Amino acid sequence: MSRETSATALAGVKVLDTSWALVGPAAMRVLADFGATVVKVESSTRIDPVRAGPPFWKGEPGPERSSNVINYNVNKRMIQLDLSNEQAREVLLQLVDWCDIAIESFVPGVMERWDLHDEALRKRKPDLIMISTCLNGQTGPDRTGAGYGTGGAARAAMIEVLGWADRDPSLARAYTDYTASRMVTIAALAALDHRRRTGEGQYIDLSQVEASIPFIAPAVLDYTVNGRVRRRNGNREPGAAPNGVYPCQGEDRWIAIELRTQEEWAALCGVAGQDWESDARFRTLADREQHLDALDAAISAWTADQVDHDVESALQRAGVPAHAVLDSLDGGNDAQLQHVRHFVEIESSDLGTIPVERTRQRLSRTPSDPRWVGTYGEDNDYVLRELLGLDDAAIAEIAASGALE
Amino acid sequence: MPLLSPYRVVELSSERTAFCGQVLRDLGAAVITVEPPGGSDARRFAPYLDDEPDVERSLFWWSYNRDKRSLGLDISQPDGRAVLERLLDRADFLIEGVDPDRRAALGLDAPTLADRFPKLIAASITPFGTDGPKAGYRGGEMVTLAASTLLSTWGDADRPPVRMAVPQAYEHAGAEAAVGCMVALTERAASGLGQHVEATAQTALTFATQCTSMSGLWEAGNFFRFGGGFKFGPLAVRAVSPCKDGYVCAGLFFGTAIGPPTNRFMKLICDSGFGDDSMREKDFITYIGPLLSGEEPISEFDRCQDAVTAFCAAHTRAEMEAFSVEHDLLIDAVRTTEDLITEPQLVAREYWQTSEPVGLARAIQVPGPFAKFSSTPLTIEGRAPTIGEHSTAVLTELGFDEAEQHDLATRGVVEGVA
Repeated sequence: MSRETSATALAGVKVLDTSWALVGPAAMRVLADFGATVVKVESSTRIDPVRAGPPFWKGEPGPERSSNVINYNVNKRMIQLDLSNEQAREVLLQLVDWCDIAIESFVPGVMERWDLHDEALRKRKPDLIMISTCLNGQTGPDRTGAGYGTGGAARAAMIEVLGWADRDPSLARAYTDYTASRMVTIAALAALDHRRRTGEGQYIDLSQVEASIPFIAPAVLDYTVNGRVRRRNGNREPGAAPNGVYPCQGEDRWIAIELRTQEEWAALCGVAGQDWESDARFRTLADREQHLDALDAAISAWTADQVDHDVESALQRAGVPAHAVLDSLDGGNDAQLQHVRHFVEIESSDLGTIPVERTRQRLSRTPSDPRWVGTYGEDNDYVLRELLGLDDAAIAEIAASGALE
Repeated sequence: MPLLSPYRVVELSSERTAFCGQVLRDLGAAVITVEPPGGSDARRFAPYLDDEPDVERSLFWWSYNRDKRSLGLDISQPDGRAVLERLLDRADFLIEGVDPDRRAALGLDAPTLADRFPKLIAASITPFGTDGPKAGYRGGEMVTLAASTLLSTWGDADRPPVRMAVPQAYEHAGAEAAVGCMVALTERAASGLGQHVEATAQTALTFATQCTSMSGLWEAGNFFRFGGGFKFGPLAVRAVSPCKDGYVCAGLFFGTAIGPPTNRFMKLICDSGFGDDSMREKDFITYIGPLLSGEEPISEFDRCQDAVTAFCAAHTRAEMEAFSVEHDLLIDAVRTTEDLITEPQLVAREYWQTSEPVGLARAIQVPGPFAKFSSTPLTIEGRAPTIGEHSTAVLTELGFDEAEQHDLATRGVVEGVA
């Protein structure tokens, strides 16, 4: 399978990715999409947990069929190394010598046990940019807590604020994997720029919880300034009314509407053909905020027998912020996501031609170019021979030791 | 010296740009945030100090404008645009969230910028993009959450989809834009050229669905919201449970990596008298197979989940996390914002920083740097600026003398000049 990408933005940048699950792989995929050479290390002795994560290709579970692996390892070179094997660790050290950026996401302590922790690696290669990412960070009483992004969302006070005031909180799956992964990419490239200018490498300790808390900073300040503990509150938002999700024709079809200005309210009333503007309960934003239940009931009565996309079009034409609530099956059909080519087809060694998400940055001169996703150990030979310059005998010896499993 | 200290950022301030500008500022770049007459719309988001709405009291503003400098400037006036151009002559990055239909008139369309400022990295953050069928759509949090498919996966099955009670859309989009800025900066070192970087709230939030937005294209079936958990085929997996003093994330998960701690959790539950021998015998590493094939009735899995629920209800958050440490489980207590401030882990890592906002007689705690950098530690120094607080300083740096500044102020081109 071809390993050609036209992406040039990060051509020449070399990345060693030993991370697993979502944060690290997704962060490094962005680099790969923009042309960096990313070597992804996996081991069949330690199967990536997200290989068990849905959605699966054509709905059939299987470790080679999980979107959670396919979508975040595009354009990478896949090598298998069992790091509990000494020969494998020797190969890893050679990859450290080769790379600019190395990332790991083991539970803190594992890399120390193998003598592959940042101090050892940076002693070997002083200008290395080394990133460790885990749930709670490399220091502190909870450092060894294994974790996943759902627990991260719990620890970052995000689950507490998701859901209905009168119900238990909802769940945002592995939410902090997504908030934190961007910060990993940003940290890696900012450090790379610093190294280019100064020659200085560094160690980056990124706690997924700490990197995610800024995403709810206003709620944190609401506590530290006003003393208010933010709770989940349905779809209510101060300063916006109506602000919510309203039923439409069909099963589980909804329209999201959010209004902040009086002009938008007038426009909505016009589209709805309702005399709400002269209703004392709904005249001003303050009036509407006083009568939210009645307002929501009135809007719902108007939307209930309409088609979600029709309401969206009519309201947007009138300048009213509104959108059909797309469900998971709708994503691929959205005209705007298609226009920006958010989903693109690539070649998978296991599954053939399949759609994946594209990186979310559109660069005008040097765009990303996702092309392929490999399977377990598929690039072993390329990595050992082409990148590390090992010969047949050396490769055979490494393989015979069981290092490549 | 902080990482990005050699670089200058011009931000055309709005709700859309605030987070991205803050990330670049936290990394050490010098950020001038350009505010329209009367102040940025990012000053008009709740919560407010003492709940009194005011452009100098928005905690949203305080959160995402720390250590930026504010220039009050009306770029809809030709002389305002001339000042902006002088700023951009010296800038490495422009961060803006201008609506597509206003871009050309302001000279902010991509071709014009590329021609006039070839080294500039210009990032656009919009709901849907600067072109395409929905480029003209109005939208903020709810609209872009809805358009990303993410909203449909949040909430309870018997109610409408529900959002997070803290805005997320332009935080996600801003982070994506910052990624794009860093990619473009790396590229510029080789080519000497800047470029246009686009990020949108719709695509940024779509990424956060954990691939469920691809379900249709993957022929993988719909993904339904389910309170406190997620639905996967016939399985409704609960992940959040009430406990004595709040909630915990503690669920029964499958597979080679998460199955073993689930097995240990089930053993603990049974040892504590909340489960029976048939539950103890389940192997969660492989259990999903028989459940999906129908060999094992779903009711049996639900019986195990009921045992989890009962076990959680009998313990406190601290007890549950102590079990997690002792038995190597994957249990995390659900924190509130109040809990975060005293969280031992965050305190031990000196995460919280202090800020002294204008209008408040005391220092407050604010989130610290998003990562620890060994060679170039990030520092959070100050507070968010008042409207046009740095207008005089910035205009002076640009070479405008006192008379010129006075003239610009008199004509309403700049705001905040002393």
